[in-house]
Amino acid sequence: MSFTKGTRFIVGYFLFVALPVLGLVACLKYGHALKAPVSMDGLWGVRSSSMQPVQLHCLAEGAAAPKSSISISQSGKYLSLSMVSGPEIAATGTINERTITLSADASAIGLEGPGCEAYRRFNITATLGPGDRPQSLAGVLSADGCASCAPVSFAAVRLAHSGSGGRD
Amino acid sequence: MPLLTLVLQVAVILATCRVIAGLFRRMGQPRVVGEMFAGILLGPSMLGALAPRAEAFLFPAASLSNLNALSQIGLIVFMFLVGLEMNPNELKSHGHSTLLTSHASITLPFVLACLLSLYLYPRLSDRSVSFISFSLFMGAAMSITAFPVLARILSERNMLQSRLGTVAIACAAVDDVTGWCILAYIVVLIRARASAASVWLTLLGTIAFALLMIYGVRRLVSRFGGLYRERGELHENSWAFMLLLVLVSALCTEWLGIHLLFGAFLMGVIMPKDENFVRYVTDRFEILSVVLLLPLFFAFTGLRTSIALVKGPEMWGYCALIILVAIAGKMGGSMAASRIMGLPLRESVGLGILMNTRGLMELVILNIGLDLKVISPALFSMMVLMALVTTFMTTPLLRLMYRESPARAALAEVDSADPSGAGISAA
Repeated sequence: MSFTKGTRFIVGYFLFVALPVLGLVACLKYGHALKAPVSMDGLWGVRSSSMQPVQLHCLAEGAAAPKSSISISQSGKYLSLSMVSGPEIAATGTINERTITLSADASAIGLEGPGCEAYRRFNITATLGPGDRPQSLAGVLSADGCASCAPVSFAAVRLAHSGSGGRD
Repeated sequence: MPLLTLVLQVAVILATCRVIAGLFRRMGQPRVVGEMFAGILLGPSMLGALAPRAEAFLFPAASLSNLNALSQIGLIVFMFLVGLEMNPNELKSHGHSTLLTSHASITLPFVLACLLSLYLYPRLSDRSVSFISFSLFMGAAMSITAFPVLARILSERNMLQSRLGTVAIACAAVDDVTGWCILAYIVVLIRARASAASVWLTLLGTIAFALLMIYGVRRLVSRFGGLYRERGELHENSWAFMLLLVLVSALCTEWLGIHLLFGAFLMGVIMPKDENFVRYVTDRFEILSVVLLLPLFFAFTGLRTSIALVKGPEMWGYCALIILVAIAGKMGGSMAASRIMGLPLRESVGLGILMNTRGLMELVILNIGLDLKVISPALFSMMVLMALVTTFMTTPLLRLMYRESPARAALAEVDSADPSGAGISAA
């Protein structure tokens, strides 16, 4: 059975153009209900911390001190955190609903000083404030491999967004 | 010493791009692939990982705005040249098969990208970006074709008049114009998000501007063609006036709320299309834009690309999925549509391979998306890898396709594929 060029065109246009366009409309309609993680990238200022000087010195001077700033880069649910000033501390993690979990290897942080060998890995668990673009977060910083180290609580407020998003 | 830093940066970028692109040419790859790769080498993915101090010295964060500004000027000129080489007659239908293939080569990758967005949006985006913006952007980014690269390959092989050449050039032209229109709409949506009224204002303003360009300014710029025909060259004042028009057009579209590059592109589209005139203008501009300024854009893109962000099997899985969908949509869509319209299998496959080349045009779109925050840094890096892979695979696939008779002709076609790399530049 052979088709004329006109018939092929109609069938082809239906299969390769009309149907996909219908699929596109359905896709956009369905996707409208999808929820992405809350937006939290940008600059955050650590406003309060229960961190003691003895714990601080292992993170190098001023790194996690009160009023220091942290920069969070977000790619969907994947986060990376770095200190804006002071030594380079980079942690990576994820966001799930309003809870963020980040961790950094002590070796990556470059801990120095006596007693710091107890710290193997730092973990941060925090909860974000309300809204799609939360302005606050509160959580704890804990260290693996250090039984005597109590978790340190901290709070931070958003200082700046990294830029305008594609909201419409 | 911002000026010294900038000069040092330009020198390092230029040298790296020429060396790496030369190496890629020896491998039979278009220069554009080498330059894209050189950009990544200079960024945090390679130089930053191996010698962070050298990267911090060469590309301090504070200096990047200067580098970006310079590269954007290069892009404005480049987009003008892309528009200049685009002949609106190519957008007209060349028959049923071209009409179907060109439309299918847009809709299929577009829809596949939107379907992929359903999976990626909750994972690689956040709530500051709406799903519609995200998916439309992904669709536009996946359906783009490197029109200049394609046109250069075909014209240098005298294949423009062949059936494959006619279909490919028409499809690429339709794809790019459609892709840019969709992108313009997305930019309008995002920038004018404050109120629905401003969206309409921008859209109406853009339409009015386009009409003014097509029916008003076009007559004015047709004088350039006349002057060239009379004298065989253009006076310095004509060059200055032409550049002025490009810059003013770019500024107009930026003020309207879309993007500088759209104005430059439109200015190129309305220029006279006499073949000699187009070649004359392109030759004059390409040393500045393609040889000097475009490598800065590649480097700037590389500096924004951090492959370290693509971490772990999950992230690499997303990356592989993006590449697969991009290839399936563009290559598969073009191939299937042309096949159903009766194009021989060999030509259908050739068309699919050519249409899958994304090259520099993809990077331009991705950078706009990252600037607008429609895509996240990790997704940007994945999409850059996709652009690199799809552009890289074109030459080996064409070689494979035309390995048999007429082998020599086909290999020659592959070897000469856009030696300049950036597409606009002549051999």
